[in-house]
Amino acid sequence: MAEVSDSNTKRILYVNGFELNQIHDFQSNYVSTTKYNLVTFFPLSLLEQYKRLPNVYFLIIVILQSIPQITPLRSWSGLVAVVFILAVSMIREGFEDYLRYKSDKETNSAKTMIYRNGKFEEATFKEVQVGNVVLVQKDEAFPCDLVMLSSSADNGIAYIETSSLDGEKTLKPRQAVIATMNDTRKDDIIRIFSLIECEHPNARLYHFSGSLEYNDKKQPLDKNNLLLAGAFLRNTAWIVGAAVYTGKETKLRQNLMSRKSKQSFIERKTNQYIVGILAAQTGFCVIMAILYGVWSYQEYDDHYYLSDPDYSAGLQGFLNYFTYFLLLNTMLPISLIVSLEIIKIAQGFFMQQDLEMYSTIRDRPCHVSAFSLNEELGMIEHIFSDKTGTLTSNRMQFKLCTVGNKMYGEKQFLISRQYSSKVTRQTKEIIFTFKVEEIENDLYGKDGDAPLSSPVVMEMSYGKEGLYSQKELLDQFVKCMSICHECLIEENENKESNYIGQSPDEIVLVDFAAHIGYKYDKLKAGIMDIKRLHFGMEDQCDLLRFEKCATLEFNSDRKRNSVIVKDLQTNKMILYTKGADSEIKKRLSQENLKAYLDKVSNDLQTYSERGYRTLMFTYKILEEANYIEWKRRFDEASTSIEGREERIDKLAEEIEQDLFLLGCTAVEDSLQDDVPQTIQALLSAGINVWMLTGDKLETAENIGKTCSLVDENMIVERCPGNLSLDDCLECMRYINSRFESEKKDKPAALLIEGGALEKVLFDEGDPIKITKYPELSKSQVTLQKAREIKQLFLKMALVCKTVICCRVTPGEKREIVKLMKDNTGIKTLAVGDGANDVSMILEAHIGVGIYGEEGMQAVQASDYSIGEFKFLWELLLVHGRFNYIRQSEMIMYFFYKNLVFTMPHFFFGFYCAYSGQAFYDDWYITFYNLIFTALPLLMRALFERDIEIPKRSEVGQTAQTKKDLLRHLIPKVYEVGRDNRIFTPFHFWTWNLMGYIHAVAVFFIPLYASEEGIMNSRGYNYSQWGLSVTSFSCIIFVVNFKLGLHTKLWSIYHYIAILGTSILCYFIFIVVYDPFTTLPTAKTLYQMLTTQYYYVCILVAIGFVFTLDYGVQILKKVLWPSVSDKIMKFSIQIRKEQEKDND
Amino acid sequence: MADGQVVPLGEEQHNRKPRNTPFRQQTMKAYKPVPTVKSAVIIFTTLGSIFIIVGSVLLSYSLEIIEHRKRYDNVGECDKTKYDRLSLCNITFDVTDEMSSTVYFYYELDNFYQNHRRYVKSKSQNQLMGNDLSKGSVSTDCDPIVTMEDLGIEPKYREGGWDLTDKDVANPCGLIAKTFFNDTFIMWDQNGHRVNILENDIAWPSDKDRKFKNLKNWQKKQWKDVEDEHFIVWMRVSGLPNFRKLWGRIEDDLTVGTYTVQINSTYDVSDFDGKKYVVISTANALGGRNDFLGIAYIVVGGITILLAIAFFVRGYFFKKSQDLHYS
Repeated sequence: MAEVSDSNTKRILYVNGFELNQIHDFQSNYVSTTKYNLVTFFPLSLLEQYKRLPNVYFLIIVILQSIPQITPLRSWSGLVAVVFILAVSMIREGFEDYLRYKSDKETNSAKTMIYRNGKFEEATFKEVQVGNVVLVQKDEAFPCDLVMLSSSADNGIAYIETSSLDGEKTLKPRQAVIATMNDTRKDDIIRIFSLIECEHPNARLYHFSGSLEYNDKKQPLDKNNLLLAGAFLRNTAWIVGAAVYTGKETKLRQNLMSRKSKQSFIERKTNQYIVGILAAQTGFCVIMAILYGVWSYQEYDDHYYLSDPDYSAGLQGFLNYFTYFLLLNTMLPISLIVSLEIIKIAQGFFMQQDLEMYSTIRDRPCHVSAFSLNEELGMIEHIFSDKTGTLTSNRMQFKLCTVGNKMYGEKQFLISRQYSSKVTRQTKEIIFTFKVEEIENDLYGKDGDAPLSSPVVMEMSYGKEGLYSQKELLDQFVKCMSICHECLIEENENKESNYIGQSPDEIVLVDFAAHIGYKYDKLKAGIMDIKRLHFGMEDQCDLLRFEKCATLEFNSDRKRNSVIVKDLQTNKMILYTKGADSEIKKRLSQENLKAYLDKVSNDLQTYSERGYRTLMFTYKILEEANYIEWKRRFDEASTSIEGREERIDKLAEEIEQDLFLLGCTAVEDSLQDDVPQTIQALLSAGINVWMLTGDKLETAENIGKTCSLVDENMIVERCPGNLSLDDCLECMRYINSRFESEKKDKPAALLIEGGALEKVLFDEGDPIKITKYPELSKSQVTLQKAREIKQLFLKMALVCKTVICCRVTPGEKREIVKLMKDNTGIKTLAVGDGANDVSMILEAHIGVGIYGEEGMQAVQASDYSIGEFKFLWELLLVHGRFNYIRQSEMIMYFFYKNLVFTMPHFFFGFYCAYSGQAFYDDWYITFYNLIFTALPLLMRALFERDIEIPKRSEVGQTAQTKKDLLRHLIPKVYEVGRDNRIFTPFHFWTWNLMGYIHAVAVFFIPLYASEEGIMNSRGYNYSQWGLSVTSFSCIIFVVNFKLGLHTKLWSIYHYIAILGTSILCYFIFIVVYDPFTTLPTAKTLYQMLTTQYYYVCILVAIGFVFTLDYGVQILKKVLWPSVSDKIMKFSIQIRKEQEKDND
Repeated sequence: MADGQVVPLGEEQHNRKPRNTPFRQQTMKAYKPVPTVKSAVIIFTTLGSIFIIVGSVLLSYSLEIIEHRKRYDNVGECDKTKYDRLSLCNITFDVTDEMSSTVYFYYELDNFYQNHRRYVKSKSQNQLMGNDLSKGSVSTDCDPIVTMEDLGIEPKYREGGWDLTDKDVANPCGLIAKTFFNDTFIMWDQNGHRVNILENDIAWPSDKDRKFKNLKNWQKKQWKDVEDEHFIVWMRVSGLPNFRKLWGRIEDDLTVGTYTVQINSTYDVSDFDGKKYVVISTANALGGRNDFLGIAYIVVGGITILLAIAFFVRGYFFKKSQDLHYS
């Protein structure tokens, strides 16, 4: 059967064909996102816990601890910590699952209408099956993914809100299938029985292709026909749709499944250090095993009071390995993982709460989706930034246009950067400043009638077609603007119509056309109405009607879009194409007159040098016969499912030829607030900033200049895209040699165009690239050259402060990031706002999304999202740096504090015949990480701050007050994380060393002080547990003191944590614990507290730690201060002065 | 946004602006210490001085102590290597400075691992507290000494009076109890007068209080009186293989002269090269003779002072510009 084989590549279903669909075994629409039920919860969630390696490690420890021959501790004490940790994670897991269960239940039992038994009957979501015809009313959610058959609106348009899928609040229009639109009304008997073919379920929210057979005609289906499960129907009374994907197969569910997590540098490094610690631990255990083996062999028998040994000396030694493994496993405490989780979530919380990162324009605070990368924000070396919407505000201003030989608009803009004109209209997307008089005169007045010196003439089969006057030329130019686009009209409550659409450029052009009298008014049943108002007067109004026959959409590879319409006034078929000049120029007809082609090109050049976004406009009249033949193939292609896009691209290429140039436009996308300052700060923080843009080189360079990426002090080199392989190599060699000869004196900037990047990004292992670029893959010589280009580029990319890549596609953006990431090991951050940045955002170490006008896809894919570009300042230089410092020091301290309390067991081994006797009592060991030292380090990791950061609002733009100066100095200290100055092996081992030294202090001070055995004036003796309790008390004080020495900010929380939860809790514990007479430590503490020995030991241990640590700190800070130290001092000076002023 | 949850329109329209609280904005009142040369010099000097003073006091207290120590396991009949059965021997102390009361009398053992893992845990605290426990309930705690047979005391050494067979539970059980140190000491001054050594008040009061209780009719069920203070002292295991244990108190001043201690030595330490000593020592508020803490304080204080001087010299005489280089 053909269908079966087909169903491997596509999904085939029948609308209303329940029995026929059954053979396919589609998913039911019952949604179950829970992982467990009441019975399976305990075993499965426990199992889930043990999928994590650390938990397995701790389980092994618990098992070992229950073997009496091995354990130095009471078998259950270790269990407490593990049970506690597991219980916490399992309760969390259980709670989350319960929430999922509740929301599932709600979803499954929600009501919708299914067409059954000749009418729409109420049913629950879970009953919906693939092929069902479903009726959804206003403000209801869609039960599953539906193909829209009809809607309450005459034009078949319905609006959906997809905020639950991608967070976007703006309504998206969806289009009913035109053919079924009138036959499947709400109250009709729905006879439709159609075959739908579409792709298999996938996670691409904004992609869908398929076809619907109706009345023996195949209708193409695309993303505009698809209503997504989880979205809501808005502003539309009802829709009727056919279910295509249900249950787990809906786009929503498919999307939930795929998100790969990124691992941070610190995390990887921590794992390495853990291996180091494990090695040390193993070493210590082996030493003890050997020594005990030898001691057992030589001496055990002599010590008759120990009774006969249980095993041979060798076995005793071997078992002793595990005994010490149990004693020393606290070097790697289970609580590290928990503490890190807590700190990451808390850091994320503070980032999200930071008012400094709250964007008032967008009503968005910073949003954190990947808590695990917090500290990596402080370690970024290269930033890859999108331009439009990221650096710029995506708020367009129509500036100038050239039509034929004439430039319209204020030429002052081209001369002076400061020049500005009056804003006459302003919306979210548009600022309107254009003076319309001149262009209106030419369009409607007598001025435009004068014949053109270089008319546009095209030879048709029936004769000549042409534009002979400026008026005719302008007419087509403006028509192209108001017809060739994908904007929609949205009416608000006041009956004012607004244009909405994916591309702000298009909106501004349609809006401009409307302003000069060509008002795009209505699109209904494929007929576009354009109202033509003479001089903007409503009473002199023509209605122009066009039948929209085919649309060739814009995408960033094509860089152009076209519309084919039938002019219903003249019945001519017209193709309007607009796009980037590089693409358009290739497709122009030879019959275009050279003179005005040059004029338009020159003007466009001027515009782009000024940094404006430019577009070229063309048109062409099609021969009816050619068109019909082409249209047939086009329809076929657009209903195909396999390779549809490639086929359409080919057909587009075919028809978008021999175009006639009308003119070009210049639109300014103004920069967002503070972009130049932010980029300057990032550059002076030593971060290399890349701008990746689809603009041409000149535009990009200009934008680069306005946003401080490139300045006069830089050596700027350009590598254009239109060079041959050899020339490109030559060019790269030259640039490289220039950078090398001058790199010490000046920062360097490189501008490189897409054509050259293709060579850089060429990968000889990738078969697609080999076929795509035959000129590179044709011989070994060319391959070698491509390789050299890549090497040169990598070398230069590291030297350059700034790299601007122009004319890049989204795919290339990702490849550039990947190239740099894989070949140089730098830490990368990609920032963007649109769907075309998603791949780059996912590729980089950290992806930052900007809430923009282009939807939420970048934000959805990102790890962090912010409202405006300028908040990168706070995100990286403030939070990133602090997170890095706080987290890395916390991890080091964690290892330190556990060494201090673990090593005494090892030292004690040398006094207890290596027998594995624990130096501290079990509960002391258990509670050490769990309670006594749990909070102080968290407080430090939450609040530690070396420098007071002046707020954005507190400073002016230039360095005037001390606060301004301080804010300008902040980037200088970013180097701490960028060069990873703290989390280095050197620091790690220094902290470890401190751990060993302090362990020596807390062990040997009480030991030597007790050596002669008389502890007070009553002549009593010391005992093992007296020594142990004293030493442990020293530890509590020493580790807190050490933490205090490293704390630069003391708030109430610090005092509570150190004095309250640590020291006070400790004393409460030991006082309460001491009287339990069955414990070995019973009644020890009361006696110790009455001796001077106890206090004197603690005091000298603290004194020792203070002198050692603080001495080193002072030596380092005061006598050889780092930049951070100096700035810290400066910041505190400022604060003190301010306080003085306030008094 | 939660996983596909149904969010009605209108919700979430509210302002997303974070709240401006000191906690959320991390602007709580905080103290920020700044290390400077000046503060460092002041802190280090003060601290160093305090440490040196405390150290000197500690040291002077320690030096005040008079202590005499003599080994006796290599003397006369106490020497197991020469005599098969241990018995009486004498040692003498020359007290050159008067030792005022109270003088404490210790025995000291060397190379004896009371802190061995096996040894430390081998006792039943429940049993010692006066509970009559069965073999089964003490077998894990007391391993490997559970029954009278495990104790292996020869009948002739038994103090008599008890009603126990080899299979009965040992009370007290465990290695520590089994290996109770049982040498006894008598002391004479040079005139042949016996010095009165009080053998009470030698255990920690907290231990005596509730941790050790005999059973009723203990003589019949226990092989040892657990309320014996020597036993209680022994049961508080020592942390080091070289340890002293208090044996008695002398409430009289020991005048200058020679004193003789007669030891009834029954405890064998020769197998494991152990050493036995007798120690007499005075004690003050800081305990016995131990110079370590005093010296430790003085050393730490000294280093601190040296550092203070170093900072002072480096900070004031070779003063470097601390200012920022605005670049």
